[in-house]
Amino acid sequence: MLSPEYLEIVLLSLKVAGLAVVMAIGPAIFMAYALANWSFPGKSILNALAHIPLVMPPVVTGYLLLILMGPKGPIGIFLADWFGISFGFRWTGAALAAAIMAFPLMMRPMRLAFESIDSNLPNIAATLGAGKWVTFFTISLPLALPGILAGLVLGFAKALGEFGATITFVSNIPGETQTISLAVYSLLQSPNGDAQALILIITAIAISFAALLLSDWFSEKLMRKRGGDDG
Amino acid sequence: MAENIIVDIKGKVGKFQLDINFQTASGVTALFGESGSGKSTTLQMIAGLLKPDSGIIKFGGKVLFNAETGANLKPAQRKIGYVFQEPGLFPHLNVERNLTYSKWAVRRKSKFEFDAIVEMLAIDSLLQRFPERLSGGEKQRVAIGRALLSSPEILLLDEPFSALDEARKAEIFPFLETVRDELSLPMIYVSHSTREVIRLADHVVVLKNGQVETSGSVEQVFASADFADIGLLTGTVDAYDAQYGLDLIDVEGQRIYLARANAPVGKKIRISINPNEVILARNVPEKISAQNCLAGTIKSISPIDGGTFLVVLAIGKQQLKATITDKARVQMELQEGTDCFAILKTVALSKNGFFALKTSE
Repeated sequence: MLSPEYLEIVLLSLKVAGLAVVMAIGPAIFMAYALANWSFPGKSILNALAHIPLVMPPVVTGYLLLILMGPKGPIGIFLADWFGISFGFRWTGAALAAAIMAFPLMMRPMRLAFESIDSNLPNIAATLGAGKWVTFFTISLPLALPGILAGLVLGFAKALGEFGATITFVSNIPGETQTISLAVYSLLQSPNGDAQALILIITAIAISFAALLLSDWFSEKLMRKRGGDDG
Repeated sequence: MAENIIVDIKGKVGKFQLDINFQTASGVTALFGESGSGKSTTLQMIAGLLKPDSGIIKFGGKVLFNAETGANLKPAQRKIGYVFQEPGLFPHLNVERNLTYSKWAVRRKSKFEFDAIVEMLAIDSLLQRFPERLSGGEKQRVAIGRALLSSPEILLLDEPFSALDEARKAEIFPFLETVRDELSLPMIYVSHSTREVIRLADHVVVLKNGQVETSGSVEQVFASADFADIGLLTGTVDAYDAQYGLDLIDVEGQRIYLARANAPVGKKIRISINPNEVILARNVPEKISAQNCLAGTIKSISPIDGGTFLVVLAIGKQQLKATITDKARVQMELQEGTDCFAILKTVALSKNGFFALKTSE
């Protein structure tokens, strides 16, 4: 009953969501840390900018991506000429769209996690000889790990379900940009697609659920370690 | 070890103005004052966690901060151990990883042996535990150990026991005395408790409203009439009276008894004396239960609150305070230069406290 197309769609979705998370995680951690710890002019504007994909219609985000990063967009042309990278109508483009849409969702729990760290700990690390980078990697980052993990799961789920920006930016090309969401949409348009759509829908639910369980299991393990059995 | 600490700084934190100037030698220096007097701020400026607006901070010939030359070492470069009010253990690391943080995170070699510090602070059984599973006192001991194992050249302590109850404090204080006695490491200890200062410090800097009110040795500073409720004598353990379980203490060539001092002969100790518990007499009294009678000369008599008088008695080079009523003063015809005797109850002395001072003085 499972067609080769089914497998292709699911794998592509995982690939797109995975790459999206990989693309967004660095900037999300950096931005979360900066917003939690630094005060600088224009901070609230930067904060608003980071959240824009969350509130803007996805189709607008997709359109902006298309005119900037598409095959004829200025950044798209630049990237293609200098680095041979092109996003237009490719799965990497779907990942980019998903990454941008997932970014604010990923950043939020990370920022909360950084903010909840006792602000004296970096001072203490400094008196013990640690510079800023050492403090970040040995204190801030590990302590924010549960929040970073939560951000990852949220981002992955968002990337997996991304629809509007993706279809606008990279269209709905089977085998290249047709993720689960786009495939479900196509199937529901055709008269006999309901059954196949249902399988994809169940798959999407299962993947999301598994991701949540995995993150829960991981953060519980982290907490149990800290709670510390004596041994 | 003449590692002088020179602090001469002006600074501002919010609306609070700080203007601090003191010098002190090695040993334990207490920054003493009420809350809001600028003790912690001063300590943080010494550590480099806050920046003064102007002035200079030097330690053992090393310039930590100099506003004129622009020198301002980062906290990590100052080689200071800092113990905060809250222990601030890293919650994601077990005790051992907390203790060795400087070693594994910044590859700093410790000048103290790990095993020796762990044993000194009695935390060897806690090494694998995480901070969440430690009591308040245990946490603070680990924090002290972590600071020591970062190879500091000076240890700064910001009311490290203020978050603990009295019982916990009493349990932990001896560890700090051990650190003082066994490691030759200068310490600056912030406290608002005269008792802690008397127990631990060699020097004291009294702060008020962001300024230094007075500074000097603990004996000198507390001899002032400003501290009318504090009296101190320093003596040396001379002998042990096994029959009655009393220690004989030599104070300026005279002897007083203390119960259960548990200090070895030859040890220098500081005795805290409540001036309200000192009786003055013109002659040596006979058949009196008080065991101690020190001969001295009245150095000054000054009125204090409630119609009572503070008498400062010179006993050799030391000073002893006694509070008396106006009536007693008149009847006994006490005035400056009068020779008289101070009667001290051994039980009262022993209850008030006596503290072994560092032997290497």
